[in-house]
Amino acid sequence: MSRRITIDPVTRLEGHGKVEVILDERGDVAEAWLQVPELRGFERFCLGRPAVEMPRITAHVCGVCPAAHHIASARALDAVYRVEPPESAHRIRELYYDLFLFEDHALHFYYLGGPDVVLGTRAEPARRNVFGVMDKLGRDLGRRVVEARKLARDLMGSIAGRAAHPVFALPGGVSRPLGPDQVARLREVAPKLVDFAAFTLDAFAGGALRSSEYLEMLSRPAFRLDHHSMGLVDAEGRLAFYRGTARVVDPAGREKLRFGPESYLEHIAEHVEPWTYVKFPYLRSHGWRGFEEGPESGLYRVGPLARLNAAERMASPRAEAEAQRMFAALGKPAHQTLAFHWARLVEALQAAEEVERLAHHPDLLDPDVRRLPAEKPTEGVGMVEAPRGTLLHHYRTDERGLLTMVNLVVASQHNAGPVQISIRKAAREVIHGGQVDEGALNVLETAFRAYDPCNACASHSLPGEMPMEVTLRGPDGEVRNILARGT
Amino acid sequence: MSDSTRTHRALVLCLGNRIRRDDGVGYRVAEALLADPPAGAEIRMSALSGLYLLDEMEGFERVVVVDAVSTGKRAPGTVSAFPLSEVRSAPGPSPHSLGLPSAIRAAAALGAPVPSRVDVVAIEVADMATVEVGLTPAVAAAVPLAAVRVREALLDPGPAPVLPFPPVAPVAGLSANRWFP
Repeated sequence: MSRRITIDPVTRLEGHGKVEVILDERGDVAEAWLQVPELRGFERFCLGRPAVEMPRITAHVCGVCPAAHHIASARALDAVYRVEPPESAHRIRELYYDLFLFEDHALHFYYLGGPDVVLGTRAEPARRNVFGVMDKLGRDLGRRVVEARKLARDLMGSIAGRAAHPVFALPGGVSRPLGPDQVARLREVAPKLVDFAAFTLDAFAGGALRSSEYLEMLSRPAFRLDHHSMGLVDAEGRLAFYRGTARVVDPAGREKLRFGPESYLEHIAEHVEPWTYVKFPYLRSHGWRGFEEGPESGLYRVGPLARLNAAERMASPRAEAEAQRMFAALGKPAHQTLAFHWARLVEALQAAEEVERLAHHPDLLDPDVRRLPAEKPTEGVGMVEAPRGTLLHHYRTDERGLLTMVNLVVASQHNAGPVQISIRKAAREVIHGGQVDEGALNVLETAFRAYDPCNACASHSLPGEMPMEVTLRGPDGEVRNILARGT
Repeated sequence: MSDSTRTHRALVLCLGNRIRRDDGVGYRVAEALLADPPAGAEIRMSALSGLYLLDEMEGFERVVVVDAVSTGKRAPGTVSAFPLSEVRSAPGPSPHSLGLPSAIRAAAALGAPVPSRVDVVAIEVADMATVEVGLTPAVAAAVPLAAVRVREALLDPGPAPVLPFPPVAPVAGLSANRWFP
């Protein structure tokens, strides 16, 4: 039995991808934790500022999904000021947001999906079968990726003012309507985005289903967690990115909860552990049962795979067909963590199809895109689905609109509990007799990166490229070994 | 900004997060450069992370990245300048610009365009953890020297390897070993 280790709080502020492993007397893993940096002081920084600055501030401090924060913040302000934007404004926000999800998912898949799906550890270096079709396209593929993303990002820039750091969403609407040139461009570009998403999905899913190695890797115990899933759905239970209610299903797929943004605190509580500042959200209905999986545990996952699990169906037809193809292979709900890449591509297809649908809406040129707030501001919550999962912005203000409370719940916080279990499982699988090799590091990294963790609020460093550092301690807490990539 | 309006061959990309104290140093260097802009170079500020920086770099032949780093091995305010190809995983420069080598390798492996030369000007910081606007004194004092290093890098002629090994052929098979240096 290993002793409890107390970890000095000061060291926790560093800690991009730092894993602490406590070994037992045999050198096997007794416990493993991922240390996660937290952006402390952000709330303090915001207090006293006008709430209407938050869409700009939060978009500027996030190097990963500024667009998601911008939109979530706008939704929170709609609620704070109790003003309902006109539908035309919702449409423009949603168009922008769908474009963002498309290009963000595409970026991550093409630049990160390859290595994340391919372990390349003790066995042979690459599972190339999965990408057989993509291999053939080679040179052509890079150009297509760049072009598709550029089309999307140029459109985003024309709608939002700046592709990277949007400035267009306001409480009650958006700053300007769309013009005929933009609509024409949207209609011209949308089918190309759909084609690209469909092509990617076909290449991936086709290759994946033909690769027994990939399917075997998908079902490795280290990469499987049976948890509740949470994601936004619209009134018809279809997966929603921009506007909807949160739906939670249990590991078997049964609906457990539905709630709107304003009541998230009634359903989600936070648990504190002594060794980290990060708080672990869990479902109040289940209570805190520790870092455990299964239907009794209050832990839940967010993100592409969880969203597909939590939705009754996709919102667009081709994406729905692809979702069904995925669930036919994996079961619904799917709990194989590495399937999130697949789910992400299905979502990219929905995002593209939705851009196409919205681009043909008859009222897209409606000039009335803002309803001015008439009430005094008080308190409100905005909830959207960021690429990595559910994002909440909760503000409280005085009657002048100056912030008195700010609470942001980002996707990685919802996943914070499940991530710990994944790390522990992966560590137990690959660390024995106190030995850790490069291959083991790969497995730990893959487990961690499968959540596509967003610690970027802590700094603007690259997402998905967390130089993992694993500290091995003996049962008494003494450091036996520190492994890091490149050493 | 659309690259169809691009008129410069060089980009100075200043990275940072203004509200995390010394993590804002890149922005201050950008402001210093904008006071007297180097010819033929565009100055940009960005809070975005590695992969998204590929979008910013698109269409430029050479790029100078300005970034805060926290190696813990140098005094705060120390300015270093080196080609991106020398950036390695820990131990070494912080994760901030670390993502760029992999992002560029990824882009190159897919056959997407990458700059022919990327240099880094890194400023060692004291505090990036505190949420506050403003630099610590040693880091603030380093801004003029960092701007000088940027100007020197821009004047340095000729290509330099962006990748630490010969150009990567378009993907013939994605080997995991490529991605983890």
